[in-house]
Amino acid sequence: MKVIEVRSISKAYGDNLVLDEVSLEVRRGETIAIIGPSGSGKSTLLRCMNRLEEVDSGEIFIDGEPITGRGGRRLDQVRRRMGMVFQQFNLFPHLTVAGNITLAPVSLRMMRPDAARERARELLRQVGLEEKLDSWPDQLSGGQKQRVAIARALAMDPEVMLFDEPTSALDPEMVGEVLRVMRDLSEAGMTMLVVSHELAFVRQAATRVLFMDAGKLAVDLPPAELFDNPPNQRIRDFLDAVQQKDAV
Amino acid sequence: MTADGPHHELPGHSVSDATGVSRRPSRAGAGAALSGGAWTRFSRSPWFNPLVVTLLVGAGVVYFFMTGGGPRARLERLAEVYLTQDRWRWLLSGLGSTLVLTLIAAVTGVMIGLVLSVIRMAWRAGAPIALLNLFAETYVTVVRGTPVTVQLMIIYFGLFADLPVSRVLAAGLAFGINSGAYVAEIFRAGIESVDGGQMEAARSLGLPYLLAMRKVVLPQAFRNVLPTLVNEFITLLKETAVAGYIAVEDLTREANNIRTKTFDIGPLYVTALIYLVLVLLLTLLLRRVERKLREGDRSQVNI
Repeated sequence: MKVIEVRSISKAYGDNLVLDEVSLEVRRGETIAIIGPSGSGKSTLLRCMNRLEEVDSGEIFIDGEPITGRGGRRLDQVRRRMGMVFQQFNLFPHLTVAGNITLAPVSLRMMRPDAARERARELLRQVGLEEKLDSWPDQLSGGQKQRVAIARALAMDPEVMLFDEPTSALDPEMVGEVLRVMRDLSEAGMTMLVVSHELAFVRQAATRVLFMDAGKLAVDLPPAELFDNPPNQRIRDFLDAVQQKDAV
Repeated sequence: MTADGPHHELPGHSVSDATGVSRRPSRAGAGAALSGGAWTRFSRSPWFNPLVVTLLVGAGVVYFFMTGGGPRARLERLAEVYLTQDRWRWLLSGLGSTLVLTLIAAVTGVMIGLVLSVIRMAWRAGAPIALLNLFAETYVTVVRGTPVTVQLMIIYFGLFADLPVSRVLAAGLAFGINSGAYVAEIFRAGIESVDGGQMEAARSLGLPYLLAMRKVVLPQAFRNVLPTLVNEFITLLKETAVAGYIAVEDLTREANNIRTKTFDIGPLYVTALIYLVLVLLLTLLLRRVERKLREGDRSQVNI
């Protein structure tokens, strides 16, 4: 069943075309990895999906409902159905971990404060940080911050989770803990789109890999096929470059 | 400078010890004589600022000698100026008006500034509020481009002419309307100082713009601008001295009332001293706030 349908969206910053007629369908429960050279439009594609960026043309549907075009209130409704995890975590430094997680459900009056706190505790257990319920963001390591950010996004019970390079701002020893949480989430059936160059994770968790190049969706293959048998030299070179970085 | 020359130093505030190396106040010399903690604490508090002490003492001395004559004549003169007609009470009630005025102005200014800054930031973020934004920009430009005294008179004799508004309230609102334009700029800078990722994260959770502003961006912006804001209050307090233009009996005007009755300019010195003390109190508050903010940062990092 289709959760998201992207129909030939384009987006340019000035003369720079970052998305060029991209089309895509996401079925429920899929984990889609998006890879490609920097500047190829990976992040922009994600950010267009919850309209942190506006597309110039094309359409995006969620459960058959169009989300592009005008409309203020509906935009917030759309965003509630899509959790987003950022490269820089973006935890709210003036709120505790519990405050970060409960802010949206409580202030949107979807949950009473005590119920939201219990839910926060549950989500923290899920990401392995139950004891940090009343800590402040500044007291957490990068990996812990990112796991809290994941819990915060999950608190809105989203249908889809968008991960925008979730581990690239982390120290190497903290990448694993975040990827483990993401893999668990994927195995539990969450629909996910992940911009990531952690190839081991992609191979293990992704159902499909999208290779983006110069704003175009160049390749869309299951990970085993893509990695074992890269369809062209361009992709082969890219995968080699990423793996070399990992080897060094 | 006293006649004792360069060798004379205030106790507890020596600039150099015997070696001439250390520039910290010597505790051994003065501390022993003054038996301990109270003086040390005082000498290290922000109060013990040589400039402040000089100003306070200087103002007192100047004031005392302005009144002329021998000691007895001076006391009689002081009694005549301040005790006749209970004139010292005029200063007290003037001080009350000044404080009420400043408080009304500060609250009004912060509210106006908040609304104006959010309008301008929302417009920049793409909200369809061109007219509101034009209003906000015009407001800031006009208010900052005209003298507060003129604004005060226009508001009191013009806008509020037919309304049953007391002078103090009218003046408070007028100064608040003025301060709002400056506070708006302070808040705007504060909002811009908050990382853009904060707003994005809040919006990505489905919070509408204004709610995200209120719950996520403004609390952080407020913290960043708190010191600047207290500075604005200090400016505001001093500015209210022109409230006399619409016959508000504030501290400055009451002092002048006494002067016109007695031909004695002493009350103006007293008034200057009262303003100075108020400003110093606010400055102390400001330092406390800054220290609290710093400590807050540190405790969150270290634990």
